[in-house]
Amino acid sequence: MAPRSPAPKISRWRANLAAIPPYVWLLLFFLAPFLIILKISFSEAVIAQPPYSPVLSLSDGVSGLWAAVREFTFANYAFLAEDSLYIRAYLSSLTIAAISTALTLLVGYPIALAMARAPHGWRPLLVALMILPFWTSFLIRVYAWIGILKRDGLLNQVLLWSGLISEPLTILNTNTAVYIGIVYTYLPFMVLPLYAALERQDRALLEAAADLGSPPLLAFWQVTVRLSLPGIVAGCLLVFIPVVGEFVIPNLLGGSSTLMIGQTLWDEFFQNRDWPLASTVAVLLVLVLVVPITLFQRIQSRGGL
Amino acid sequence: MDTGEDRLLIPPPAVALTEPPGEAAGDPPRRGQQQNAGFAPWDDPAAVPLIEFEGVSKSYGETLAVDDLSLAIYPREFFALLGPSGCGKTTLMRLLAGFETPSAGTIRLEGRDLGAVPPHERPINMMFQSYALFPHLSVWDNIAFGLRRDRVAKPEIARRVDEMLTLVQLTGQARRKPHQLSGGQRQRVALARSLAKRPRVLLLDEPLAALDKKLRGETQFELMNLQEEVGITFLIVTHDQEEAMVLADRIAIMREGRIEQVAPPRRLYESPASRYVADFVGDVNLIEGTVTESGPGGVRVAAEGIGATLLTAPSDEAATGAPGCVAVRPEKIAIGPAGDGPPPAHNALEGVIYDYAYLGEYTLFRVRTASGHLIEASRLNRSRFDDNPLTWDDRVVLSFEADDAVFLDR
Amino acid sequence: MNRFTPFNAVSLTLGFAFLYLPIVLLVIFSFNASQLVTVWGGFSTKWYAALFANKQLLDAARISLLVAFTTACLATVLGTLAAVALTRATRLPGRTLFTAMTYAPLVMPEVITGLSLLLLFVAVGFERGFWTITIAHTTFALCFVAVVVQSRLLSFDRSLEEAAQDLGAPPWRAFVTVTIPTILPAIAAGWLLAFTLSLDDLVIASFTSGPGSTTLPMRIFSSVRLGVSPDINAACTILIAFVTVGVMAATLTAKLRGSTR
Repeated sequence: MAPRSPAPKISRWRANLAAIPPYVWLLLFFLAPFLIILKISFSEAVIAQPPYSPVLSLSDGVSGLWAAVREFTFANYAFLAEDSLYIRAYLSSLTIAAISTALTLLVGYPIALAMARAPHGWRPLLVALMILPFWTSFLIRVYAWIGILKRDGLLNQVLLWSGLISEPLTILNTNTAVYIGIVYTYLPFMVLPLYAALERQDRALLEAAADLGSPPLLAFWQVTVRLSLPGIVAGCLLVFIPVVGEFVIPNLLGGSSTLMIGQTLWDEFFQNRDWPLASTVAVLLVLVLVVPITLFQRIQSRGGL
Repeated sequence: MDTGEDRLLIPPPAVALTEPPGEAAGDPPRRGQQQNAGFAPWDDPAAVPLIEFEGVSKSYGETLAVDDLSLAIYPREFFALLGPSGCGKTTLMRLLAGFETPSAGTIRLEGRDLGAVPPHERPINMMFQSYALFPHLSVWDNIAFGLRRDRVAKPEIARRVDEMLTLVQLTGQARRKPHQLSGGQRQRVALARSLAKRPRVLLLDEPLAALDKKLRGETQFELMNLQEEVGITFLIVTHDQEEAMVLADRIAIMREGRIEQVAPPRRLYESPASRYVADFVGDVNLIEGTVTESGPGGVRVAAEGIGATLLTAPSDEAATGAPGCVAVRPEKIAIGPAGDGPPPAHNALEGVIYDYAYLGEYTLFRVRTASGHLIEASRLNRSRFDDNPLTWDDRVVLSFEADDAVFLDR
Repeated sequence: MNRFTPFNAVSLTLGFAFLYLPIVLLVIFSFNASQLVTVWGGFSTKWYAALFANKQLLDAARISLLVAFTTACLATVLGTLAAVALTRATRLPGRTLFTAMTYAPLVMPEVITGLSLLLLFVAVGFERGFWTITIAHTTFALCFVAVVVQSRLLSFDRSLEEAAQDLGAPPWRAFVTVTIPTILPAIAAGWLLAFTLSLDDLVIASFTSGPGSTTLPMRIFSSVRLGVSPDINAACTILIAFVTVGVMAATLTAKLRGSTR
């Protein structure tokens, strides 16, 4: 066949037209807010409405903009750098996200593998079952764990009844509960890319490895795991990035010692009403996530996922 | 179309040319001409072409898919574009359908420049290789799709769709969705859909590629009859030479965006214009050499490599001293045991059987000459028993008539 | 070793038990007569009665549904257009920016999206309420719709559109009569996804809502912080039932329409 030609000019032109509404929408409601957050992170907190200064007004034009820029202050950034609370919050968020991503992978891989190895007829059902909880409310799924994990909750009751423990365990309001909650709510995000990668694999590959002398576990490592690497990367990014900024799970399941940046931002905003500082926290959070997000975008635009 | 099969039934005798060349002076090559005498508008200078490509080029960035190509196709013709993948045949078809715009040159339909006409306004319909049946529409609605776009009156649409369903024998399947049909049925729906608008030209992109071999054979003849019935000009793109030969009145052999030769099947096979065509259509032995003598009696070629002087049918392209090659088809070469009767006077080559393969209808021999060249010769298996078995390492003599060989200079 | 081993069976069983057990327990305990959420005190539907007497919760549910519906419709239109642009507009000016903006909200932490939108609304003096939540939800939901529709468009056979043009349909007509019906299941899935995402969202809504526009997740969240209560279990059960029925209906219609693909 002749080389598949690019779409004809006329249809490309039409597609450009189709891009305009979402493009404008995203510029207005995704990019512009971002620039504003950046700008406010250089502002000072004042007790007013809105509670920051200088207030950027569109009516002031370019000169007003410049005047505002001259009033920019790095005070918020300096404050964040000085107060170890924030640094610890960032580090703790990254640690919790990394650990829970690893845990999700550990839990998700056997499930994805089993789904990929399941008889053909079952697979669509298994995929549907994996997606279904995702459709039910995230909040509800986190909430359900409170009843299970609390001191007089179901888990402790079962464990006490079985005689495995004599004293109820304290799980709720600890990091353990946060890990459980994250693994639970983010499991489908890990399993589905893994499944997609594993399901594609030619089953003869493992047989070929065995035929060439690899013992089963080595063959599994060299072939199955190796080839599912893109799925592993995609799954890990899909879990890691949102978890770094997670708010609901640490708030509901975590305790006073659970330090996560999403929670910090929330508190700065809603409790302390320090909008500039909240913005600064957000800007730094984006900076922290730039690398994984870029990586994710690369994979996404290559048609991955 | 072809009434020369009987020739194939006679095993070529392993005898020499008894008449010296020059006897047939003034005679054109005996065969490969004047078939299908009834329909040959391309030989008629007064005939008006339906489609004209004039100096058409199409490039994608650096690559030239179609390269300064000119071609005329006549009304009611069944025309085939044949070539390997990537030769530009599909691009040429898409240019005609309007899905691509030429980088240079003009395409005319009935004298009208198609340049500014978008695909949906061209009186040309296409049958896609994937069939491209609309999955959400029934067979009936698929066929009616084009008519509805033309705002044909409802009763007329119904009449035409039913007519088409009858034509492709799918009356019972009208309410089905494409995915409920077999491959052959889908192919017929695609055909009916593209014919429903009664286009001036029907384009068929590898129409039979998705069918299995047996069905393909039957469908080829159906397609041929259908074309005669509807009287529409068909342009087919294919990489299958058998398909092109069965279906087409004329075949264009394409190579790297250019046309190597346009001719009816028989002329293409028997009088190829180049080594490429000779090799692409069927099997051929190409023996390199230098012209020592050229005239109305034929071309004498000294094939230094193989150590023989060969005689071919006359050629206008052969100038004394020029390099070229002798092309001769395996089935035109007679094979017999060496030392069996007097050796042929011309075009005789000796060798030993290097390989042979029994293929049912004929047996193919690969004979190694003293110079080390391999020559292929085939022998029709007319009898169930092999009276004269030849086997590995047998010494044999190969021979062919001068008229059965062609001189090619490119 | 390629076969379905007992290990695989165990992983599947445990995996799905882990996924579904909490939800099942929640549903069961919503029918608990006892006030104590963890002690079974007999079957009762009293929490549902209590729920339907809770005007605040009902108001929140009404707002949530309205926001989710509006969001889903807006996001489906914008997301489908974005998907078309992503797959077809290969020479779009600023394509990299467009692609980045479409994919980034998929993984962007909600606190950032919420905060940044709020700051925008404040900066331009937009009064917070129903529309600000809807705009915020549409912004991130449209990206999910775009991804879902894009994956369908990528596998869409372009020759179908060409065939329609070949048969006399101008390009826009070919798109409407052939492309849209073919990718309709993906568009429907996108709508449903946008609806659920919006119905589900707590963080972004908390930032962008105003007085009188408290959504259901916000209500649930504030009561959950005070502890587990059976009427919240009941509310959750209704939500789960709602989604389950919706997803099942969608799957069934897809099945019935039968392989429009």
